[in-house]
Amino acid sequence: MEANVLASVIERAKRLEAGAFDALVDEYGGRLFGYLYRLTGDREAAEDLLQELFVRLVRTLPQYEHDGRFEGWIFRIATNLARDRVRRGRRAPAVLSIDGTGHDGAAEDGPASWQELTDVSGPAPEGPLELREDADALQRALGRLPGPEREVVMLRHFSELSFVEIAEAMGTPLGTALARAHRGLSKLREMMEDRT
Amino acid sequence: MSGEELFAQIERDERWLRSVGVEVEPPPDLGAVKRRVRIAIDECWLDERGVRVPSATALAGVKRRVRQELAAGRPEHRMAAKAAGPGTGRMPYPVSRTLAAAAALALAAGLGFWSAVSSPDGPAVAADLDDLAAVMGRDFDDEEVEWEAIEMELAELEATLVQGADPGWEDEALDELFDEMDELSNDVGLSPGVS
Repeated sequence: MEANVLASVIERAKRLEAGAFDALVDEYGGRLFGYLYRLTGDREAAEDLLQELFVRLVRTLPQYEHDGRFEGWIFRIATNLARDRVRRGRRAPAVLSIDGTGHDGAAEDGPASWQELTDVSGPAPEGPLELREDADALQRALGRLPGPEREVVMLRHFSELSFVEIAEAMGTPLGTALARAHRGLSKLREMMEDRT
Repeated sequence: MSGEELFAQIERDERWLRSVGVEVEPPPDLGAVKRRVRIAIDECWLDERGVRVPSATALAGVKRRVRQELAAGRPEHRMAAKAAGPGTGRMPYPVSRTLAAAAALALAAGLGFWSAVSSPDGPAVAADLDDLAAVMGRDFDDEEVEWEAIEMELAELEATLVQGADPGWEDEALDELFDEMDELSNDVGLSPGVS
């Protein structure tokens, strides 16, 4: 979306025009969903968070002052929502169901935790859960990355933000963002190549 | 590793990452998100009892809309045309009065007087509310409202504005007006608006 078109859409959204929000959903919804899914590791949680994010936009956009950094702003909100979701999941009972449909006790809060959902270092799970994990090796590898590295790598992939903008959105120096991306990508590649 | 080498390595790894397929299939149901957004927008216009009054968010939207309309000079023409229209029996406002009336409409919006159109005192305010609807681009549902309790305050405020306003009204004056709107909103139990 061109910058001037985006500015106009944001102005209309600030007046709570539904059509403007439709345009924002069309523009960012798919990429935000991909980002949220890769951060939480849970499709249902990502869909919930995507809705929550846009509801939050409805409530906060009237106070938002557009300075040309809208994309960084919404991806930062998405990052915070995903962090909260994973944190809540960690506090919930970490009981994974073996039927592959979810996890007892934490069903409302998404994955019990990233590591619990993706860790394959313990006894090998059986049944559909194992099949699901095998079907998404990348997701498992992502789950093994430290959170900050995973966030930077996925922000680069799903947003159109530069490293400078990512560093700003994450509140880190540029060098830190670059180092996290480098380390995260290297580890990811190594894990995926080790698998084959 | 130099900065250039680091960046080149990152770019190589990013190309590799794209090749392994990070995208999520199937794509999300964006229609569900849009429907939820519409509900959230509607909720901005409801209080905790489900009565159609503006929340702080909606109030902020109203203020912004009125500011923009005033800045563009459109309310002046629109309201003058409406005020002189058939059946209203009203004369076009001079500029300062137009600004005051537009501000009063903002107040009305802030306090949620949608249904005054159908109240016993309706005819006097119906045209204003038509204008309000035009300014906001909305059709307001008829709801039960406590018009009488705050009508006097609205009239007093409007009178003050008419006496004090001049064609050179600037943002500062509007800021003061909106502060008054917030105070009145608080008085009738609404959440404070956000400028």
